[in-house]
Amino acid sequence: MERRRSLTAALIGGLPALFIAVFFGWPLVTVMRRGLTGGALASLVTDDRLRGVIGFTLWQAIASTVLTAAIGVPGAYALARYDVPGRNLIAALSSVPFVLPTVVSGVALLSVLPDSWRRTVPAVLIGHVWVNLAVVIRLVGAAFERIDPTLGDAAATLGASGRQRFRQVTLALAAPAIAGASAVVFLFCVTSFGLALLLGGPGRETIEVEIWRRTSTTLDLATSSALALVQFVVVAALALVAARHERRHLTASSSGGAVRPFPRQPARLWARTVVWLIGVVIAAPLVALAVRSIRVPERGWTLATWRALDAPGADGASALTAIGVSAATMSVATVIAVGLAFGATVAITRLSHPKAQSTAEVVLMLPLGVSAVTIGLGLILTFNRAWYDLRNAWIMLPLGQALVAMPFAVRILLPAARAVPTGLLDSAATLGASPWRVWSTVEWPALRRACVVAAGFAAAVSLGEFGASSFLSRSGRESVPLVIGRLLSRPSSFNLAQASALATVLAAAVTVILTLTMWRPRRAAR
Amino acid sequence: MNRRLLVGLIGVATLLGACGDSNDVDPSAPVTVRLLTYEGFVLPPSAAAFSQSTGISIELVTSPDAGTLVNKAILAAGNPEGDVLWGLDTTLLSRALANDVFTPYASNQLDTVSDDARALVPGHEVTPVDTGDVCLNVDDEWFATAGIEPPRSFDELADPTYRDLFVMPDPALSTPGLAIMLATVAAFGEDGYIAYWERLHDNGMLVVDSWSTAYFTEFTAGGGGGNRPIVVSYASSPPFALVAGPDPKPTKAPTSAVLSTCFRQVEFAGILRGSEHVEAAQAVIDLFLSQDFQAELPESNFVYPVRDNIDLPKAFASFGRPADEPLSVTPGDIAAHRDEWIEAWNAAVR
Repeated sequence: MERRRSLTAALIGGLPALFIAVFFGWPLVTVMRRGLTGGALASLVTDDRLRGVIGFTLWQAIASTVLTAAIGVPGAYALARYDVPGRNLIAALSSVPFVLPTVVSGVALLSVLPDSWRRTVPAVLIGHVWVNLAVVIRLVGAAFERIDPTLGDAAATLGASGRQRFRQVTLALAAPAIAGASAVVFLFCVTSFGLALLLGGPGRETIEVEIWRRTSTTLDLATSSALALVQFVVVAALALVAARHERRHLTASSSGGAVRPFPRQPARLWARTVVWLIGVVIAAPLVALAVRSIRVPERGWTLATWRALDAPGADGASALTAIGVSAATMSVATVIAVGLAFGATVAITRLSHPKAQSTAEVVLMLPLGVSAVTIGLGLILTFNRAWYDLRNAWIMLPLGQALVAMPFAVRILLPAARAVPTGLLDSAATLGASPWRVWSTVEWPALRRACVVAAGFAAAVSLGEFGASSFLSRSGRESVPLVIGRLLSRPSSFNLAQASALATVLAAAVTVILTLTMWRPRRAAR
Repeated sequence: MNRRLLVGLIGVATLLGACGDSNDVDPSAPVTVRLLTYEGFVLPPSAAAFSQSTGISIELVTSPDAGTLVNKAILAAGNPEGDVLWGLDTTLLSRALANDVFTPYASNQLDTVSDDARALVPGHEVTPVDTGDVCLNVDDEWFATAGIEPPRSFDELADPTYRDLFVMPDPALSTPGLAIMLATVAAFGEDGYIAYWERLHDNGMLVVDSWSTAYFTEFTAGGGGGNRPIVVSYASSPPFALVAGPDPKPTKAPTSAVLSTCFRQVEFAGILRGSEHVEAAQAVIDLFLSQDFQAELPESNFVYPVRDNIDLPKAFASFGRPADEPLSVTPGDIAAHRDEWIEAWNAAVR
């Protein structure tokens, strides 16, 4: 029985494994082999500029994380415990920046920040806080809601003051979630690319931006590879710590059993202020983005930017072409990413050895730690000769985006697959159901919804992908984020307005896709 | 509902995927030569007449800047995205040649090209097509209003009078930025240029990512509301307002180039190795060197003809002349020392 399951796993998992080895592992080895020299590694320590980049990346990530937590934790607490008018709307709104493509967030923030703040450190930090606030509000808010209210009552009975109860019960129980959310935020800030590129500037490059600069402007593969390695090590270390932490945390909280929801208290002034302030801060850039697309400084209110979307640009391709390219690429990338994640998930849950399971899981997460720029460059440098010269093939773009999106899909599918009780599968099999029947009547129904959600996420990631795409797109057939980046690199008020229009389109597309795929009918929620 | 959505998505994907690649060439159709270049390049009017008489149409495919353009071409060497590349300059030449990007072609028009430019590519891998001078540009109107004399040399720029007035693109990221740094290498020597940049750094110079940010955003006369009246641009930039600016056009250029600071760049075009239209591509290179095309280059692209004995248009003759004695560094030296020079520059100004 066990052996048979492992065999099935090998068959189903073989394809994703082969795919990852060929389209991720091989290109990665190519880049490292082409670039990684002792000299390049040494320059990480000796070169002032590189040291500066690594230092800046780490400190801005720490600062961004602390700021995000400082605003997000009170926000999460207020949202979870107090009955603030408009709380549902603001909670939903706070997730929007997180799912938006970073280019869109960048353009949105540029339209509210004063011009003199462009290319400054505060702009980068504000950007990271704006985008990642949702992580803290969601994860920590859920923790605050999960805390059993009887614990606080018990503490009160034992004579604990309100302050003591808050610190020793509420905060203590939410601490793992705060740590976990901070780790996720830190991870996103360390690998930040689009936001750092648009809001930072010379002297304020993150590792990822520097990798992109080095490869796209001077083709300095040696330094890029060395930097990619540094980033990989940082991310891998953090992921390992987080995975261990998560496992412990999960076992601790799942033993708790059902918890009745915390009764919401009438809103205090501070809670109202915090929640509404968060609402305003989140909404302002989004509104400004839309407004900027229809208001050009010299022309006043105009729809010219929107009409100009189908006018050929300097390179003969219109912004409308880019929208078409993005839609087509997204569809193919989503199918590849979800297909791979699905195969991998089914295979992993069939691996009998827990150690093998966790190893496979870590391997699937690897693309998350490797910079997207490196993924793109690796594909170009690997599939460049003889019959496997794919440099001009359209499939390269969706392929690269699928690799970037796949870890997210796995993250969504794997928990869903794990939630299917093994006992159920075994008893179905014992009762004489064929493996196929077990699969189609027990497993697939449990995974179906997760597949749709994963597809939504993969599509959103693909739509906003910038790093890998900058190498894989063919000239004249760039995706929307690349066109936005180009418009921003030649700043004029009209270009800025048109970038805003395109960013609005992208934001709307992502929001619609995610709403459609995550929406579940009320009865299903019961 | 959900299942239908997924099925629908897959269906759409397959359809779109299937029609994604439509680059097949119909041999009976007139030839289209894909010209890879940077954003902002404009085909002079004589290209239209060329297409009419030869049946060869030219399709522009652009990259954001010359550096990205050349890097993409290097990564795609042998399986190019187009047939001809326009936009290689002196600072990028060695890198492209080392990577075997081009198919050599010696145009029969080559003997009209100035000797200096021709000498740079004895193997004919690429063809010189124009020249440009990268120099300090100053906003004369701003200086007149402020009642200060604009700087006339590199040395004067370091004077405290011009504190916080200078903006330049990063040499590591931008070709004009690199060119102005090379100009100081030529002017102060390999041992002296760093000390000079330290002085400018202490004098409050601003470094930005690209020429367009420097000129259109930070420069006082670039239309972006900037507040720095000294910028790195071209000797041919001042006529811009007279040729392409908004109406009514001024009769006198509002800016001028500081000709003692100019670095001479030669720009090249070449046929990409792996092109399927080599003959048509050769005809396009011939077009680039033709009398009409060369004469139109200043007004379309703000560069100077590489062909000898071509008169400059009036606006350029009056306000946008090239430097008489430009600074230069040989491509060999640039290739050998570029990275270490940039690194030293970086260390000095940060």
